[in-house]
Amino acid sequence: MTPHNAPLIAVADLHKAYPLPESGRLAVLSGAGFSLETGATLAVTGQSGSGKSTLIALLAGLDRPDRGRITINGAELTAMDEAGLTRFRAAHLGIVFQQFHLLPHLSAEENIRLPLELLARPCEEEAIAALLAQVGLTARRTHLPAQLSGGECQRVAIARALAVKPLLLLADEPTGNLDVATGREIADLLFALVERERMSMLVVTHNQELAERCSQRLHLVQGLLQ
Amino acid sequence: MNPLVRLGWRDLTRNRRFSLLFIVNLALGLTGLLLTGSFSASLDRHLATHLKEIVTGDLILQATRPLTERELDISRTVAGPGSRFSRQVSFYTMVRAGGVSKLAQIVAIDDAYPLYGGFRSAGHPLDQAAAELQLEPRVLMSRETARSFGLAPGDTLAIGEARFAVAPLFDHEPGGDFTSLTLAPKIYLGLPHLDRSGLIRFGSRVNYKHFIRLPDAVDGAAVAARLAAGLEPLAKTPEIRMSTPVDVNRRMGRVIGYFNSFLSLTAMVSLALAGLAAAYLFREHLLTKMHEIAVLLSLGASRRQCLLLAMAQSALLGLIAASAALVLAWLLLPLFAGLFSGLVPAGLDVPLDQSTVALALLVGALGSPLFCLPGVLRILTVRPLLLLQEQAAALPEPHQGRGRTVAALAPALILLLLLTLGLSQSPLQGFVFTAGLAGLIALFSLAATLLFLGCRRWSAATAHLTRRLVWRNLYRNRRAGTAVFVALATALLLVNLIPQIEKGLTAEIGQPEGMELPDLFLIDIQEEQGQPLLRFFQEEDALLSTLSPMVQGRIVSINGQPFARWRQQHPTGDDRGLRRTEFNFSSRVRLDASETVIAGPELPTVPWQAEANQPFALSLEQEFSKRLQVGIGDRMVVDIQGIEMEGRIVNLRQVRWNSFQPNFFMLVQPGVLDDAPKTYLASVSRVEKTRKDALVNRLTAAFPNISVLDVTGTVGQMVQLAGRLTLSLRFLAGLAMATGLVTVVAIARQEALRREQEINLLRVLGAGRNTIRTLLILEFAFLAAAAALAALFLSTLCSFGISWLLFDRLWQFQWQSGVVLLLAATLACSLTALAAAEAVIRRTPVTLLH
Repeated sequence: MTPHNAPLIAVADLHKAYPLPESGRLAVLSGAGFSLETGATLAVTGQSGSGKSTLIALLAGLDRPDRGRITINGAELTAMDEAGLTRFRAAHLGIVFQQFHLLPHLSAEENIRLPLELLARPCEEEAIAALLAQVGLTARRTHLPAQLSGGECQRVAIARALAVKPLLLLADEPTGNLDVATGREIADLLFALVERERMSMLVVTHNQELAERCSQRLHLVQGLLQ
Repeated sequence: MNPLVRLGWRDLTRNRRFSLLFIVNLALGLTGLLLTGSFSASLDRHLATHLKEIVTGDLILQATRPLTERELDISRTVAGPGSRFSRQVSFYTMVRAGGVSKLAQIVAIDDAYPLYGGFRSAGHPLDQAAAELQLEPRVLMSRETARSFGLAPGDTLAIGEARFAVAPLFDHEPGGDFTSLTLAPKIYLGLPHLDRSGLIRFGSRVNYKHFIRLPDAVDGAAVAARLAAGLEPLAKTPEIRMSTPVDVNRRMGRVIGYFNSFLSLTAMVSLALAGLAAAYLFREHLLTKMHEIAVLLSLGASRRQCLLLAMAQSALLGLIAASAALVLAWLLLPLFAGLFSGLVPAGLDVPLDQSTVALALLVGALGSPLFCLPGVLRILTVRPLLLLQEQAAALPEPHQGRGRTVAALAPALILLLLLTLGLSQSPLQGFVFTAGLAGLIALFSLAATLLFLGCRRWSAATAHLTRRLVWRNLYRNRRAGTAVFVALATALLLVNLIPQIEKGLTAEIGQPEGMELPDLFLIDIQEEQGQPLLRFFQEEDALLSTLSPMVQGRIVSINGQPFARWRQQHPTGDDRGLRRTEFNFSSRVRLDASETVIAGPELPTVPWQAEANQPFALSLEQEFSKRLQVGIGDRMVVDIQGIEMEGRIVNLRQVRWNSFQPNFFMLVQPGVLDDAPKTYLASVSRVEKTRKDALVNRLTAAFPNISVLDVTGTVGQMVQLAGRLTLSLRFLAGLAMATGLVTVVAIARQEALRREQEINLLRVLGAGRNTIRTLLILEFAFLAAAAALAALFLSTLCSFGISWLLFDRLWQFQWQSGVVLLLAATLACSLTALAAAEAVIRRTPVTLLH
């Protein structure tokens, strides 16, 4: 558990570089650091290729930093093995992708239920129905992703991310694949749900309007957060 | 239901075409295994349950002379009270019925025969008719034999100087439970009437058998050992040979084992090809699922769970494939067993064998995940961070190390090796087959690699758009292309190998190169009949040739060592015919065209003089010399008609046994056999087909003791036998070909799906559907033609090698089947690929806009 008054996320001196196809390495993060309080929302902006998604991948435990330390809710991610990261991600984090990444063979409801089932947590019908209602898809619960619009798919993805009641929601360009109006609707939904569930959210985005709705904003330049 | 299990199941049901192709492919591969396994198990079971009926006794004593009273007394004493004895005398002779004279095997039996089994007609025993043989001059024969002589019950026939009436006909005889293939049909008569025929005289090749039925509780092997010890002090020439059902079982089991093992190994080719295709199919399917696996990983599923899911999917598909194979094999088994009718017991029941079914299910459930393992392990390379926007562009494609891929192939190869070892007759055979198959696949893969490198060059060199696209596509998709090439080439090699060998074999049997087959082969010619026989054939305007004396003798010692000890000290692993010490000796002044001296000088033409105190010159057939492990200069003491003489090997001969001329393992210098009583063999040629039957009738009338073998008929039987055997192999090769075509369907469909975007783009840019079809046809036609050419080249080499090693170099180039296969494979492959990709080609290019 987070010690009293400690931030939910504490990132310090984070370094990450990728090997280049020919030779050498491309430094993406060069000592980035920040912290985020429980219930706060943080927007990370920056140019394409600036390392925004790398940051979110490291926070989600999908990749490992070369150096530095990430602590979420008192748990040090950088000290965990892959199995530990998987368990932590499944139990405490929700991720929303730009491309939705729903499983095509599962219905909207089944996609939402999946993280709970993977955790072997009880899936109460009422809770799933409530989630579907919150994202406005009660009528589409049996539909497959191919039968849903882009905005509806993203709603399902948000509901799936919230199903486990995570401490932190990580959103990678959540409106990047949607038209302006739908993007705005999705943003409204995201912020409303985050506020209602009293969780924290880190959003990586190019969308200034979305960024400005967050309580904190950081700009990633040359591997450093400003 | 576990969410991953549900996901896996839904994935398989939603991707029906993939699942169906996977199942059909593996089912075809497993069907061959089920067919051959069930067939061989049925044969083994039949042999085990009918062994005593096949042997018709617990112990058989046989010799080419009647057993003495002393020998029979010892046999009765050793067998003990409660044992039953039966006697049989058999020989080949000409039988006349109406206007027909034919070679038949006369079997004279006593009233105790058979000790096990019996004669039956339509399921009813013919005990009464069999008993009457002892009382009346009657004969028992099968319906088929009666038909060939044009006889019916009540008709009469002549055997030697006596006439016999035909008793009711049988359709099942004692000991006739295994195969209906014989040199001549059997005719049974009662022993009391045998002398009336006047056919048993000096030099007649007669076989005397005594069957013993022991009381149930008595150990047959122990009695056989005591009997052998009891008879040994009386050792008399010709020697008595003793056999038990165990010996017969071992001998027959070995022959059947070779045959089954050959069939099973052919079926293994289908399974290996199916495994190859399964591995490709599953890998390609998984590649399309990498994104979903990444999502699962990002949601908290572990890699182990995902690996298990994929393995469980492949196991489930394998199990369904095995079940489908069971149904297919059940449907095909009667047809498959029918291919062997006449070669195996009539009415042999061939159900699906339980242990083979269990094996097929195991291979399906366990083998399928092993075949798919290299593809499944790609899950370890899935990186869920690719789901994030910037990462997809920043990171290289996930790549599985070559070392891991090779290591992942090992379990499947071990499974194939274990299966092959289990199915083959010997570990060496299993290893050679697996290594050969692996080598073949490696060779074809190398050929495909070179071909695709050529495609890259040709694409750079050609300005023609269609051709350039074809070459480029072939090079770009070289991994899939290699799988198609290997699968097709391996299957085609198998398909073409069979007619190549068959053609050489049958052509050489029917008309040996550089030789003319005789029309008739004469046996049991008495010494005084030589000149009259020559005159007879001169008058008939036919040619009697290679009149060869034949004397039975015994090898006493080799280089001073008793023969038995020599064999113990010089084991060869190939002891065919060496259990006995008796052999036929002959002599000739000039070698026949069918034999050539390959080492040492010719035998001297000067007659050997016993008084000279010098060893006589001896010529050995080369394979026989290898088995005896003797060579030029070695000395052998032989006992010919009770006189021991020493000979020295002066040359080795190569004999073309398929010439149907009188040939022998051992030829001695002229003069050695002069004083020995002997019979002669000869061949007759220049007999027109239309007058052959009449000539045989006149010959039989003039020389009733001479047996005449119709060479043309025997050759026809052998060709028919070769045809039957190759038909069964073709059947299995057809399965391999079907597996190869399923691979083509799978790969063509996968390639079309993979290239969907490219196809759509070409269409948007103005290419018509027919242009796309032409591209596809050209690609697969080229691949198939190249694979077929490689297969034809290699199958020709292999068939030559096999013929050289196994069939005494009987080989002929068979170009017709090659051309047909080349055209058929090219056409089938192109059309199959087109059919598989048609759904993608027909889709609207508007999907590009989504």
